[in-house]
Amino acid sequence: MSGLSRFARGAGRWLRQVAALVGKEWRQLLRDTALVGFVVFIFTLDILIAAGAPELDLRSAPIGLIDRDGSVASRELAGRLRAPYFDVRAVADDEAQVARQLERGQLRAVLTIPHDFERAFVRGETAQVQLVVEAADSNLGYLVASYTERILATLAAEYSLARTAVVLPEVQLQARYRFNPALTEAWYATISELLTMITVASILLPAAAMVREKERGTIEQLLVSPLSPLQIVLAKVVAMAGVVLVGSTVAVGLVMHGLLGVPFAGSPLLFFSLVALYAMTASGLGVVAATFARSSGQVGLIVLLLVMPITMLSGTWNLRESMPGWLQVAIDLSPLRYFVDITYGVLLKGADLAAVAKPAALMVMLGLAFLALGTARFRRQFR
Amino acid sequence: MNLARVLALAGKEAREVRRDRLYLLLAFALPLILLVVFAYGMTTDVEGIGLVVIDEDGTPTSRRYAEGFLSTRHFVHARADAAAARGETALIDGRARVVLWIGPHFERNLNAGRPAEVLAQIDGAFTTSARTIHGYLEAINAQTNAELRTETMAAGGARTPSAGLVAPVQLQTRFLYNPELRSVVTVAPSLLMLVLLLVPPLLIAVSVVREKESGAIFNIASSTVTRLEFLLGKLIPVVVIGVANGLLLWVVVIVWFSVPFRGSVPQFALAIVLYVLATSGLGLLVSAAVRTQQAAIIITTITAVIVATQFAGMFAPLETASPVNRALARLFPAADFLAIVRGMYLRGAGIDIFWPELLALAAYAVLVLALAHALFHKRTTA
Repeated sequence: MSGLSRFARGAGRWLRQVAALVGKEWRQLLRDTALVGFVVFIFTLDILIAAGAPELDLRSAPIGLIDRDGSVASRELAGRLRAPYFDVRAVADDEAQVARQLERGQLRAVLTIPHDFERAFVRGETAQVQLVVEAADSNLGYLVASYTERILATLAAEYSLARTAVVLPEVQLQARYRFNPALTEAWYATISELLTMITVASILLPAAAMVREKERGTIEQLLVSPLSPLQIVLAKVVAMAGVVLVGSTVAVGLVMHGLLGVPFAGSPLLFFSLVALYAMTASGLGVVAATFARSSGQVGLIVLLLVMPITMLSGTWNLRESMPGWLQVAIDLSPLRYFVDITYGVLLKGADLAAVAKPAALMVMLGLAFLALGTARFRRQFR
Repeated sequence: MNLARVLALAGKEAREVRRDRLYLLLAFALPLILLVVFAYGMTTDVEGIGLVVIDEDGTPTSRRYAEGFLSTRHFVHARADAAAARGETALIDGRARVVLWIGPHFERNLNAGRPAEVLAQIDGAFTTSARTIHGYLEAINAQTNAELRTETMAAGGARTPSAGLVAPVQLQTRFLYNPELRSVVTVAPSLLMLVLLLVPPLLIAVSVVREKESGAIFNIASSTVTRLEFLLGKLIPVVVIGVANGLLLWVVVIVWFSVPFRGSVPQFALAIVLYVLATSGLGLLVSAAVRTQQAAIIITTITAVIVATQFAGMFAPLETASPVNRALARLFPAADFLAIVRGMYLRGAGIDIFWPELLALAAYAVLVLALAHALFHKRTTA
């Protein structure tokens, strides 16, 4: 019994010491006005800005039209390419001039309707239409081609129906978008932005704070105090995770759900607990990075090396499953890869604990590994 | 301004950089690593998308229809369990992005010449991928329909139907500058914009703020070195490193990723120099505003990420952004440089077309450097 109470007393003191260190971290952060201002910015204004982000879709894409037929049929076709996707304008039938306009980026594509277009119809032949797409941006190039293709296919189906006596079989594919039926860009963009900001802040804040202690030599003072390396590391991780948790609560509750109407389909308790776990995991990675650096310049570069692939390749900005295999294996080590599934799952899809249990467990395991590695390296460097 | 003093300061910076092996290694290796990883990873190719098929018809025709999707490299079969909500759970936990529901009587409807309905539920959480996936589903469906029509007509009668009835209009598409629509052709050159927005500002901000934080700036304050000379001393080595990085990346994009360069070499080199000057100026501006290296690192990094993802037009065309965002984008040099990259590098346009953008970059560099000079003080309150 006395052994147990001694243990409890010891644990209490241990935790009080960590809490004191956490308080010190917060005071230090609050004194850095530029940094505080920036942290406030990324969780409020920046999320609002993200709501107006550009979307990958065609809007009034300038398409040049060369109508060599000038018939009813060709005008009908040109009339189908309309707003909001296309802005069709007649251009001179002059190859050099058209090439120049494509080169300048004034036209996204040029559609040429040959002079025997209508006659081909009348004779029951296939009428050919040419589309030349400027594909320096392959995404937009693909969209221009596939939208045009879709429009022409509809037109062709109507012609077929009007002429054939036989009814031709057709599969009608109806597509519905789940979880964001109107594909509201702001929902996706603000969540992506929040994930990016949480990640950058969670990794950078503790890493930079850690290296500052090294550079100034205050780390020696901490080490001669009756504190274990684990306490020092844990305090940094907890302090910065706390900042991130408060920031995300404001960002999700006030800005996204309150102001922008982004849905919050799942349980808030589940979500914010996982945010805290994620922030600690990412902070652990920051601590590991800091043990490899001696100066702030170095830590900045090391952290960039980690943060940029993590934020860009974990599935918010790209299709994870379409990456090459070796990169998919590497990105499995990114905690954000799991947190992306968790966040979109809980916020938009209404996922419960069971649905996110697997990514959450993998994320926590990564977090523990980072913490263990960070503490071990830290201990070795200063003993 | 005394040129000798500027050179002495720049020399001191260069020596400091040279002494720090890890830093030097990172300053050159980092841009390369980022370029390679992103060029492979930020692919917009649609491949290996998980697709759940719920086939309530279970006939050869319906199976063949589903196979039409799964036999492409775009979609892979995702397993789903339990009857009722099986598609639903696979979409929620992220195992699949599409659930394809083929209703009963699929085969019977088609054979009777009635339209058969198929429902595709696409995960709309990721709007960009959702649109692209929808495009691929439609394209594959259209192809299946064309095959069905041809077969029916061939089987259906004495009279062979004319081609014009099966396919009255045919579209021949040709893609300029990127005939195979390889996503790396778009992504790899654009990464010059991203990397040169990240690295030079970080290097310069940290090197200025380090002097503030360590107090070494008081040596400068008490000397006859002017603010301008001090800043130029900081600027020159970073611009040299930044331009060297830019040229290195340029070569790697051409050689390693085989993205042909169609423009004029000196003109594009000029664009890189102007862009590096402009982004380094941004770094100086940050260094004038902050006191700690921690703040300098965080602010330059996050700014770069925000600008590259939101204000450059890299992932999506800027003309679809809100008016406020388009105005904000004018505050940064990334959009102009990206237009130059796409225009000069990929489309082979010259200075005769892109002089306004080049001029904008130059004006931007001058303005931001002048602003940094005005805001910078040798005597800090730290």
